[in-house]
Amino acid sequence: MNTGSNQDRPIELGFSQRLKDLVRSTATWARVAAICSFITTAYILVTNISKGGFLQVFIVLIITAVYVIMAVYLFNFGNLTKRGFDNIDQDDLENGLNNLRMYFKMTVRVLIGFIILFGIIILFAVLGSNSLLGG
Amino acid sequence: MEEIEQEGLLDESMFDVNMSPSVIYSLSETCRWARRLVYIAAGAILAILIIYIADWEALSRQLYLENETASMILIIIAIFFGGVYIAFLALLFIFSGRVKEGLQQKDLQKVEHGFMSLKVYFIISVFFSMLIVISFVLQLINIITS
Repeated sequence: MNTGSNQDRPIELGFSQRLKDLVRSTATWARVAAICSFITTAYILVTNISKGGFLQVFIVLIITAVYVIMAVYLFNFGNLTKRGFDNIDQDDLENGLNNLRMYFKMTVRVLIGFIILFGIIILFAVLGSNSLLGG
Repeated sequence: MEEIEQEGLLDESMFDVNMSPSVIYSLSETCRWARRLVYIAAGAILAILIIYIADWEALSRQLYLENETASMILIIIAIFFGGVYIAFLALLFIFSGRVKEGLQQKDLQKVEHGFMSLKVYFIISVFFSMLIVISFVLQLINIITS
Protein backbone atom coordinates (compact mmCIF):
# COMPACT_ATOMS: atom_id res chain seq x y z
CA MET A 1 0.00 0.00 0.00
CA ASN A 2 0.94 3.64 0.14
CA THR A 3 3.79 4.73 2.31
CA GLY A 4 3.87 7.85 4.40
CA SER A 5 6.44 9.49 2.15
CA ASN A 6 4.11 8.97 -0.82
CA GLN A 7 1.28 10.72 0.96
CA ASP A 8 3.46 13.66 1.99
CA ARG A 9 4.44 14.35 -1.61
CA PRO A 10 1.92 16.31 -3.69
CA ILE A 11 0.27 14.04 -6.25
CA GLU A 12 0.72 15.10 -9.83
CA LEU A 13 -2.57 13.66 -10.99
CA GLY A 14 -5.96 15.28 -10.45
CA PHE A 15 -9.34 15.78 -12.01
CA SER A 16 -9.37 18.52 -14.64
CA GLN A 17 -12.66 20.35 -15.20
CA ARG A 18 -13.30 18.27 -18.34
CA LEU A 19 -12.57 14.99 -16.56
CA LYS A 20 -14.69 16.07 -13.61
CA ASP A 21 -17.64 16.81 -15.93
CA LEU A 22 -17.14 13.47 -17.69
CA VAL A 23 -17.04 11.44 -14.47
CA ARG A 24 -20.00 13.38 -13.10
CA SER A 25 -22.12 12.69 -16.20
CA THR A 26 -21.01 9.04 -16.19
CA ALA A 27 -22.19 8.84 -12.58
CA THR A 28 -25.55 10.37 -13.54
CA TRP A 29 -26.05 7.84 -16.34
CA ALA A 30 -25.06 5.03 -13.98
CA ARG A 31 -27.73 6.24 -11.55
CA VAL A 32 -30.37 6.24 -14.30
CA ALA A 33 -29.30 2.71 -15.29
CA ALA A 34 -29.62 1.64 -11.64
CA ILE A 35 -33.13 3.12 -11.37
CA CYS A 36 -34.15 1.26 -14.55
CA SER A 37 -32.76 -1.93 -12.97
CA PHE A 38 -34.85 -1.34 -9.83
CA ILE A 39 -38.01 -0.93 -11.94
CA THR A 40 -37.22 -4.07 -13.96
CA THR A 41 -36.56 -6.06 -10.78
CA ALA A 42 -39.81 -4.89 -9.20
CA TYR A 43 -41.75 -5.87 -12.31
CA ILE A 44 -40.13 -9.32 -12.50
CA LEU A 45 -40.83 -9.87 -8.80
CA VAL A 46 -44.48 -8.80 -8.99
CA THR A 47 -45.30 -10.79 -12.14
CA ASN A 48 -43.55 -14.01 -11.10
CA ILE A 49 -44.31 -14.23 -7.37
CA SER A 50 -48.07 -14.05 -7.83
CA LYS A 51 -48.39 -16.97 -10.25
CA GLY A 52 -45.37 -19.21 -9.73
CA GLY A 53 -44.82 -22.38 -7.69
CA PHE A 54 -42.38 -22.61 -4.77
CA LEU A 55 -39.32 -23.46 -6.89
CA GLN A 56 -40.02 -20.72 -9.40
CA VAL A 57 -40.54 -18.15 -6.65
CA PHE A 58 -37.30 -19.28 -4.96
CA ILE A 59 -35.28 -18.94 -8.18
CA VAL A 60 -36.86 -15.57 -8.98
CA LEU A 61 -36.09 -14.32 -5.47
CA ILE A 62 -32.41 -15.29 -5.80
CA ILE A 63 -32.07 -13.72 -9.25
CA THR A 64 -33.80 -10.49 -8.20
CA ALA A 65 -31.73 -10.30 -4.99
CA VAL A 66 -28.51 -10.48 -7.03
CA TYR A 67 -29.90 -7.98 -9.52
CA VAL A 68 -30.88 -5.55 -6.73
CA ILE A 69 -27.45 -5.77 -5.09
CA MET A 70 -25.80 -4.96 -8.42
CA ALA A 71 -28.18 -2.04 -8.97
CA VAL A 72 -27.43 -0.74 -5.45
CA TYR A 73 -23.70 -0.78 -6.21
CA LEU A 74 -24.33 1.15 -9.39
CA PHE A 75 -26.61 3.62 -7.64
CA ASN A 76 -24.05 4.16 -4.87
CA PHE A 77 -21.34 4.76 -7.48
CA GLY A 78 -23.48 7.47 -9.02
CA ASN A 79 -24.44 9.07 -5.72
CA LEU A 80 -21.11 8.97 -3.91
CA THR A 81 -19.04 10.05 -6.90
CA LYS A 82 -21.31 13.04 -7.51
CA ARG A 83 -21.24 13.95 -3.81
CA GLY A 84 -17.47 13.52 -3.75
CA PHE A 85 -17.06 16.12 -6.49
CA ASP A 86 -19.66 18.46 -5.00
CA ASN A 87 -18.07 18.47 -1.53
CA ILE A 88 -14.51 17.83 -2.77
CA ASP A 89 -14.43 14.77 -0.52
CA GLN A 90 -11.80 12.15 -1.37
CA ASP A 91 -13.49 9.53 0.84
CA ASP A 92 -16.79 9.77 -1.04
CA LEU A 93 -14.94 9.68 -4.33
CA GLU A 94 -13.02 6.59 -3.27
CA ASN A 95 -16.18 4.89 -1.99
CA GLY A 96 -17.97 5.72 -5.22
CA LEU A 97 -15.23 4.15 -7.30
CA ASN A 98 -15.13 1.16 -4.95
CA ASN A 99 -18.84 0.64 -5.60
CA LEU A 100 -18.18 0.61 -9.35
CA ARG A 101 -15.43 -1.96 -8.72
CA MET A 102 -17.85 -4.07 -6.65
CA TYR A 103 -20.41 -3.82 -9.46
CA PHE A 104 -17.91 -5.19 -11.99
CA LYS A 105 -16.72 -7.81 -9.50
CA MET A 106 -20.26 -9.05 -8.88
CA THR A 107 -21.01 -9.10 -12.63
CA VAL A 108 -17.91 -11.27 -13.12
CA ARG A 109 -19.07 -13.67 -10.39
CA VAL A 110 -22.61 -13.87 -11.78
CA LEU A 111 -21.22 -14.52 -15.25
CA ILE A 112 -18.94 -17.29 -13.93
CA GLY A 113 -21.96 -18.78 -12.13
CA PHE A 114 -23.96 -18.79 -15.36
CA ILE A 115 -21.07 -20.35 -17.30
CA ILE A 116 -20.76 -23.14 -14.70
CA LEU A 117 -24.55 -23.69 -14.76
CA PHE A 118 -24.55 -23.73 -18.57
CA GLY A 119 -21.65 -26.22 -18.56
CA ILE A 120 -23.48 -28.51 -16.11
CA ILE A 121 -26.66 -28.40 -18.22
CA ILE A 122 -24.71 -29.25 -21.38
CA LEU A 123 -22.87 -32.06 -19.57
CA PHE A 124 -26.15 -33.56 -18.39
CA ALA A 125 -27.66 -33.17 -21.86
CA VAL A 126 -24.71 -34.97 -23.45
CA LEU A 127 -24.73 -37.70 -20.80
CA GLY A 128 -28.52 -38.06 -21.18
CA SER A 129 -28.37 -38.38 -24.96
CA ASN A 130 -25.46 -40.88 -24.70
CA SER A 131 -27.35 -43.07 -22.24
CA LEU A 132 -30.44 -42.92 -24.47
CA LEU A 133 -28.37 -43.99 -27.47
CA GLY A 134 -26.69 -46.74 -25.44
CA GLY A 135 -30.03 -47.99 -24.07
CA MET B 1 9.25 36.06 -16.85
CA GLU B 2 10.43 32.94 -15.12
CA GLU B 3 8.04 33.65 -12.28
CA ILE B 4 5.12 33.96 -14.70
CA GLU B 5 6.11 30.71 -16.41
CA GLN B 6 6.39 28.99 -13.08
CA GLU B 7 3.01 30.41 -12.09
CA GLY B 8 1.58 29.13 -15.35
CA LEU B 9 2.98 25.67 -14.69
CA LEU B 10 1.60 25.76 -11.19
CA ASP B 11 -1.82 26.78 -12.47
CA GLU B 12 -1.72 23.93 -14.97
CA SER B 13 -0.84 21.34 -12.35
CA MET B 14 -3.48 22.58 -9.90
CA PHE B 15 -6.82 20.78 -9.88
CA ASP B 16 -10.08 21.37 -8.07
CA VAL B 17 -10.02 17.77 -6.93
CA ASN B 18 -6.74 15.89 -6.60
CA MET B 19 -6.48 12.15 -6.93
CA SER B 20 -5.35 10.77 -3.61
CA PRO B 21 -3.32 7.53 -3.73
CA SER B 22 -6.37 5.63 -2.48
CA VAL B 23 -8.54 7.06 -5.29
CA ILE B 24 -5.89 6.07 -7.84
CA TYR B 25 -5.75 2.59 -6.30
CA SER B 26 -9.58 2.26 -6.43
CA LEU B 27 -9.62 3.43 -10.03
CA SER B 28 -6.94 0.98 -11.13
CA GLU B 29 -8.69 -1.88 -9.30
CA THR B 30 -11.96 -0.93 -11.03
CA CYS B 31 -10.16 -1.08 -14.36
CA ARG B 32 -8.72 -4.48 -13.49
CA TRP B 33 -12.18 -5.92 -12.73
CA ALA B 34 -13.64 -4.31 -15.87
CA ARG B 35 -10.91 -6.01 -17.90
CA ARG B 36 -11.63 -9.37 -16.22
CA LEU B 37 -15.33 -8.92 -17.03
CA VAL B 38 -14.47 -8.33 -20.69
CA TYR B 39 -12.32 -11.48 -20.87
CA ILE B 40 -14.92 -13.70 -19.18
CA ALA B 41 -17.84 -12.29 -21.19
CA ALA B 42 -15.88 -12.74 -24.43
CA GLY B 43 -14.94 -16.29 -23.41
CA ALA B 44 -18.57 -17.09 -22.61
CA ILE B 45 -19.89 -15.87 -25.95
CA LEU B 46 -17.08 -17.69 -27.76
CA ALA B 47 -17.95 -20.94 -25.94
CA ILE B 48 -21.64 -20.59 -26.85
CA LEU B 49 -20.69 -19.92 -30.49
CA ILE B 50 -18.42 -22.98 -30.59
CA ILE B 51 -21.17 -25.17 -29.11
CA TYR B 52 -23.69 -23.91 -31.64
CA ILE B 53 -21.30 -24.30 -34.56
CA ALA B 54 -20.44 -27.82 -33.40
CA ASP B 55 -24.15 -28.66 -33.49
CA TRP B 56 -24.87 -26.74 -36.68
CA GLU B 57 -27.92 -28.84 -37.59
CA ALA B 58 -29.69 -27.97 -34.33
CA LEU B 59 -28.91 -24.30 -34.90
CA SER B 60 -30.29 -24.32 -38.43
CA ARG B 61 -33.38 -26.20 -37.19
CA GLN B 62 -33.92 -23.46 -34.59
CA LEU B 63 -33.33 -20.68 -37.08
CA TYR B 64 -35.61 -22.15 -39.73
CA LEU B 65 -39.08 -21.03 -38.76
CA GLU B 66 -42.32 -21.24 -40.73
CA ASN B 67 -41.03 -19.18 -43.63
CA GLU B 68 -37.81 -17.65 -44.85
CA THR B 69 -38.76 -14.09 -43.88
CA ALA B 70 -39.22 -15.07 -40.25
CA SER B 71 -35.86 -16.87 -40.15
CA MET B 72 -34.18 -13.90 -41.84
CA ILE B 73 -35.65 -11.54 -39.21
CA LEU B 74 -34.43 -13.87 -36.47
CA ILE B 75 -30.92 -13.91 -37.95
CA ILE B 76 -30.90 -10.09 -38.25
CA ILE B 77 -32.03 -9.74 -34.61
CA ALA B 78 -29.33 -12.21 -33.50
CA ILE B 79 -26.66 -10.27 -35.45
CA PHE B 80 -27.91 -6.96 -34.00
CA PHE B 81 -27.77 -8.16 -30.40
CA GLY B 82 -24.40 -9.80 -31.07
CA GLY B 83 -23.16 -6.43 -32.31
CA VAL B 84 -24.52 -4.67 -29.21
CA TYR B 85 -22.83 -7.26 -26.97
CA ILE B 86 -19.50 -6.76 -28.77
CA ALA B 87 -19.92 -2.97 -28.53
CA PHE B 88 -20.45 -3.28 -24.76
CA LEU B 89 -17.31 -5.36 -24.40
CA ALA B 90 -15.29 -3.02 -26.62
CA LEU B 91 -16.37 0.02 -24.58
CA LEU B 92 -15.44 -1.65 -21.30
CA PHE B 93 -12.13 -2.77 -22.80
CA ILE B 94 -11.33 0.78 -23.91
CA PHE B 95 -12.34 2.14 -20.49
CA SER B 96 -10.11 -0.24 -18.57
CA GLY B 97 -7.15 0.03 -20.93
CA ARG B 98 -7.19 3.80 -21.37
CA VAL B 99 -7.71 4.68 -17.71
CA LYS B 100 -4.99 2.26 -16.61
CA GLU B 101 -2.57 3.68 -19.18
CA GLY B 102 -3.53 7.22 -18.22
CA LEU B 103 -2.88 6.56 -14.55
CA GLN B 104 0.46 4.91 -15.25
CA GLN B 105 1.65 7.61 -17.64
CA LYS B 106 -0.09 10.43 -15.75
CA ASP B 107 -1.87 11.37 -18.95
CA LEU B 108 -5.25 12.93 -18.22
CA GLN B 109 -6.38 12.76 -21.86
CA LYS B 110 -6.23 8.98 -21.77
CA VAL B 111 -8.19 8.90 -18.51
CA GLU B 112 -10.78 11.19 -20.11
CA HIS B 113 -11.00 8.95 -23.16
CA GLY B 114 -11.54 5.96 -20.88
CA PHE B 115 -14.32 7.64 -18.95
CA MET B 116 -15.94 8.73 -22.22
CA SER B 117 -16.20 5.03 -23.17
CA LEU B 118 -17.71 4.19 -19.78
CA LYS B 119 -20.26 6.99 -20.23
CA VAL B 120 -21.27 5.64 -23.66
CA TYR B 121 -21.50 2.15 -22.11
CA PHE B 122 -23.98 3.42 -19.51
CA ILE B 123 -25.93 5.46 -22.08
CA ILE B 124 -26.42 2.35 -24.25
CA SER B 125 -27.44 0.26 -21.22
CA VAL B 126 -29.94 2.97 -20.20
CA PHE B 127 -31.37 2.96 -23.74
CA PHE B 128 -31.98 -0.81 -23.64
CA SER B 129 -33.25 -0.68 -20.05
CA MET B 130 -35.71 2.03 -21.10
CA LEU B 131 -36.96 -0.22 -23.92
CA ILE B 132 -37.57 -2.99 -21.38
CA VAL B 133 -39.35 -0.59 -19.00
CA ILE B 134 -41.53 0.72 -21.85
CA SER B 135 -42.47 -2.84 -22.82
CA PHE B 136 -43.44 -3.49 -19.16
CA VAL B 137 -45.61 -0.37 -19.11
CA LEU B 138 -47.29 -1.42 -22.37
CA GLN B 139 -47.94 -4.89 -20.95
CA LEU B 140 -49.43 -3.34 -17.82
CA ILE B 141 -51.69 -1.09 -19.90
CA ASN B 142 -52.75 -4.17 -21.90
CA ILE B 143 -53.59 -6.07 -18.71
CA ILE B 144 -55.54 -3.14 -17.25
CA THR B 145 -57.55 -2.47 -20.41
CA SER B 146 -58.36 -6.13 -21.18
